Amino acid sequence: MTSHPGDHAHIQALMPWVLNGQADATQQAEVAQHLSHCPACREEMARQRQLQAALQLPAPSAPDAERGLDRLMQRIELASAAPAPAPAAASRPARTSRLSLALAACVALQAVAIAVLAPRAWHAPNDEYRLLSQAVPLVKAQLRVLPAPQLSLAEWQALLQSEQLQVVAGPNALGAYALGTTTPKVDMPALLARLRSRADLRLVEPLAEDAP
Amino acid sequence: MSFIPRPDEVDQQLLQAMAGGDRQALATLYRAYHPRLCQFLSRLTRRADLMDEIINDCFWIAWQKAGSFRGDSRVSTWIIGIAYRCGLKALRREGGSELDSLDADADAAPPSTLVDTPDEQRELRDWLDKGLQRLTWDQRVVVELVYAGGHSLDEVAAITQAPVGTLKSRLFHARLKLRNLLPELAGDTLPRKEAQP
Repeated sequence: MTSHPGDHAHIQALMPWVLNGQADATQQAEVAQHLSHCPACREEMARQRQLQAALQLPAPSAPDAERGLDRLMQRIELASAAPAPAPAAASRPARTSRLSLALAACVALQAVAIAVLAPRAWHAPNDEYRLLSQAVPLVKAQLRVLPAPQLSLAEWQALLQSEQLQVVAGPNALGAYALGTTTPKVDMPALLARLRSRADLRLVEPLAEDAP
Repeated sequence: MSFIPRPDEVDQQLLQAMAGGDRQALATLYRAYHPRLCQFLSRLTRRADLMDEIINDCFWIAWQKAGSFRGDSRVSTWIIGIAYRCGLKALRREGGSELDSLDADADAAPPSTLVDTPDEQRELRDWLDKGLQRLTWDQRVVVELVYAGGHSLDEVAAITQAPVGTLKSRLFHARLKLRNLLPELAGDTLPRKEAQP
């Protein structure tokens, strides 16, 4: 598109900016002057004005603002009470590595705690023995879940087992857990949908990998 | 619903308060931007649940990064840029089908007052739906940001991270498609009827 002042194409390309208020005074005058003697461009201007009016109709099927805000506040509340990741943390790579370290520490701590507090209760499945010095498989915290008070321990354990989830950290002050899945390629949206459909889980949030 | 540009100083003060952990400031900013983000995101998806999720992610990030906002752009540009990236991420995760086309929405809620009568609004919305369906999603985004959002070309470039030349071209082709596809619809409501090819 080659355009010179006074060209129809040039004038029509200026129209969006005249309509949205971004055109400067010179451009506005240029368009007005051209429109005064060009019916075709007047028609184009009317069409673009029509487009602008149509685009400013309120969005159909918009979600409810207050409910959305409640969810956001819950998410923030949960994050501030849970061990990771902290809001207002530094850049992403630093946070990721710090998170990994924190999680590794949590898992290691759990292993030690189990060994110290309940040695007799610990049965390795299939009679396999795992030495404490052996590496503990790391499960990454992927979601945060707040069980409802009515959820029994047995139901909680059954849920974790059936969804192949493990507790990575928690419960925090609010009673929320950070969970990770042991399934290598989990369908996270489907998992979230299943968990969110349960009445006995009050909140299910993915642990975001931060900004896109 | 026309979006009167918000005073940027007000938004900057809210961000500063948010950086200090002020949740009331976050709520104020959230409520102020919710209608605008809904309208913007409606060019990407018709699913209210997805819009809700994208807006949640957007403000989650804004909350975390409020302290790192340096005023290189207007706050509105910054927030819509975050929403844009969250939107693309969410839609790609959903398989990207929403990015290709928008299904006509039969169950659209009746809009509020801009045009005189509901009939006129319905007609205008139908006209728009038919036109926008023929645009690619990135053309729809530019059209929305320019005509409805009132953004400058540089701001659209900051939001979409696309070169200005590319955006000019998208806008040009969008205008051309709309003109070629919508003459008879526009002709019904415009004083002059363009000759049909």
